[in-house]
Amino acid sequence: MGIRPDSMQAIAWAIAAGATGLAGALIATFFYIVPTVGETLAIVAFVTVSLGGFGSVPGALVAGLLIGVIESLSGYLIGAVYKDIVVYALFVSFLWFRPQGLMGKS
Amino acid sequence: MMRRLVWPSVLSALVIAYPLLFATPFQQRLGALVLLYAIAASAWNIVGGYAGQVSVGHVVFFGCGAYAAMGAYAHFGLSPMVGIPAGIVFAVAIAAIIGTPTLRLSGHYFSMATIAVAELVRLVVTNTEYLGAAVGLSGPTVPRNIFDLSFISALPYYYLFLVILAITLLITWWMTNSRMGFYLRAIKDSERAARSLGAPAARTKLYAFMLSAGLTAVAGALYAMMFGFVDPESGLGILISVKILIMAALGGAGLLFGPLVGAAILVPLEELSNSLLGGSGAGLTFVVYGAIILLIARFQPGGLLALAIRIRERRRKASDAPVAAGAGHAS
Repeated sequence: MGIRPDSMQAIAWAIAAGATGLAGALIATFFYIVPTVGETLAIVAFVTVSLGGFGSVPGALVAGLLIGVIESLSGYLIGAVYKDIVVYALFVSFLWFRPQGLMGKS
Repeated sequence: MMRRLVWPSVLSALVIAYPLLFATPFQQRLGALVLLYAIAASAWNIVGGYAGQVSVGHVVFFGCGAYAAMGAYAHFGLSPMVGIPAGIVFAVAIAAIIGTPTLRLSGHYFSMATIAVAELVRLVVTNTEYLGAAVGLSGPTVPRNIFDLSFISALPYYYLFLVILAITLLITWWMTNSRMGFYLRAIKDSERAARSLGAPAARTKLYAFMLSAGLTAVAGALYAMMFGFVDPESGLGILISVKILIMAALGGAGLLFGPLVGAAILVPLEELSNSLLGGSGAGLTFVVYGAIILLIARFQPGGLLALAIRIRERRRKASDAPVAAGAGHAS
């Protein structure tokens, strides 16, 4: 068909890296930055994509908003240490009901 | 027939004699650590290699065993050994919680769920006073009797780990030759085809995951006993999951002795770089790990052992031809 899979994958990879870099630059304005700052954020990003459903753009958007709100609210209501625990626990229990994510195809 | 047995018997004799030939405390400790990580990586291999489901959160099972062993001592004054069955039960239960929903799907969901659960458990433990919070739990400072399995020398640990590794490999070997191994191979080739032929794909993968989790818990308990303590970083840190995974992948995921080969290469590498470079070099190990991941993914996805097998078969094919021609002379 004339589509070169290697270069398409490279472009997708580059766009993903660029967008993540942009997110990193934006978060640096209000976040404490240490060399390992990306670890937790990357895991939360994984969780967000699985929650939205792999390959679903609206799913990722909705899941991102949901996780952001849940994390901030639980940090405020329950305690800052527990905000990630709440997100992960909700994610794991959500998997039992809809393992393919909000908008993913199984 | 005799020739085929020479190399395996020489190698196993070497493995058994190793701590006597290399008798300094550093070398004995190194040998014990290789075997310990080989146990964990072999356990990972059951689900990651044979079932083809990459778990990136295996440390959670490791932590179950480690915390159960130390908890049995710290809270009940029992031998850490008593904690092992409890650790296995916890690990298998967590495996069932993760695996039941996600193993029904194919793709990345399983890997993501394992990371999320591992981080969840690490955060919960770090904030639980009963489990020592950020400080962790300690084992017996002075061994009360032999059942505490607390030795100064690494020699007893070496042989203990060797026995457990042999049992782990035996279980793996037995599994691959049973109906379950047959199903797993079919699922790994093509899950849809296996399902349509009536193989219970989700259930078989779940059993493999639970078996792997239980064995990893044993490795975690042994680790805690040898070091005498466990904290969230050493018992539940995500880097341990990565280590276990890389050892199996480097040696050869899905091959019986692959994880052992990987551990025998990576553990000495890490210990040497730590002892040569001191504290400042601790991070270098992970640079090496990253490079190894890249190289394996790019050039040899089957691992080193798969490469060795391929080279040997090519050589055998090359040497078979003249042997067949001169078959009249031989023997």
